[in-house]
Amino acid sequence: MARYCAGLLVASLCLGGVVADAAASERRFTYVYEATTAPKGEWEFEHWVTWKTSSADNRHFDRFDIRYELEYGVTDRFQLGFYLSDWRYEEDRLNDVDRAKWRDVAIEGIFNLTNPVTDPLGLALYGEVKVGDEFVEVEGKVIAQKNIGPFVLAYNFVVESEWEGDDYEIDNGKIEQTAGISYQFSPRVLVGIEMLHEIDVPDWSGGQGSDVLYIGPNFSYRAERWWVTLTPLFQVSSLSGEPDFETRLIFGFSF
Amino acid sequence: MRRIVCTCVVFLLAGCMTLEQMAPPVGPDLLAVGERQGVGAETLRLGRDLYVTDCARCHSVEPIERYTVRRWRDALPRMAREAKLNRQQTEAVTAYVLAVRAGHCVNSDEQLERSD
Repeated sequence: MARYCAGLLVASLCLGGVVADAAASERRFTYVYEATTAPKGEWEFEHWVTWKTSSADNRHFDRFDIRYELEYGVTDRFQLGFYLSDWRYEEDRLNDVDRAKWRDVAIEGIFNLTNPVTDPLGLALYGEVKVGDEFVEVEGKVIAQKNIGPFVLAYNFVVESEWEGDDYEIDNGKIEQTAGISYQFSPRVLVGIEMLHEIDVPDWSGGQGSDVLYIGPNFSYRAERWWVTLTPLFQVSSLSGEPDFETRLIFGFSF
Repeated sequence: MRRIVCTCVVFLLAGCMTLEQMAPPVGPDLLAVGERQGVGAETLRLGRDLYVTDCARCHSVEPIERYTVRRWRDALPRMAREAKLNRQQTEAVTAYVLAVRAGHCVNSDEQLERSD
């Protein structure tokens, strides 16, 4: 194993000798957003797959969330994203569930405030509105990022509110923190760690719901026109109703 | 195992150059190199500004001295297209990078002469 890791490191460092092209809004992380935005006039398509599986309550459960997203750099500091379609496939052998369901469309905007390289801290604001079948969600994020040489450190504070039901009478909230560190071995190969901390706040009543923490590594590879980033996350909080493992893969290409 | 971990840590720390080391600010030395190449201070400053901001949207700021002039000449036009830089911006980044490279070569030669 040690020899394999050393080989991987050497191969990555060798790749560092190549000045690689890269599309402009590729992601180092899959759960953490970065403060930089796409340059003005750039379009990018992203395909997301998030797989959640196996909670302590149910070992026969798999859920796949699929997203198709189109991003556009409106200015050098403002980016819009359109979730063309979010849909879900889930299989629960314990409760005999096997179904695919369309969920929502959404629009997001990211406004960059400060630069993570030249300013002491890179900051950006994020807003998102999601609309589905008897479902509306509003989400806001503060994104902080600092680039130090080949390292990128990023942190997001997220507040999310959703309304569901015939008259949108069910009101649920969520507070989320994500953080990550990524190291660029070469312009093509990046490796790091991500953390996801979710706190459910039912009805915004002050009563706290589930509180779950995930940590895992991430890997990113970039080619001239496309990139792919993968993050497997493992639950470290031992919450029985939440998946023990989830992983997200994002594939993107710019045009 | 300890040796591997130590090697990794050394490589990681070696990668942590300051921004000024990776992309030197436009000072008297660089201005002198620019003058020899027929490039003005404004262009060099714009080039450096773009190098540490727009180029860093896609990848970490790369130490300019890490790559040869030939590699930069090959890669810069393609990366400038990806970053949606216009012609003036592309020329400025190219001029800045080549001036830093030229300055590095001059400095290296001077160091060699001094050591002789």
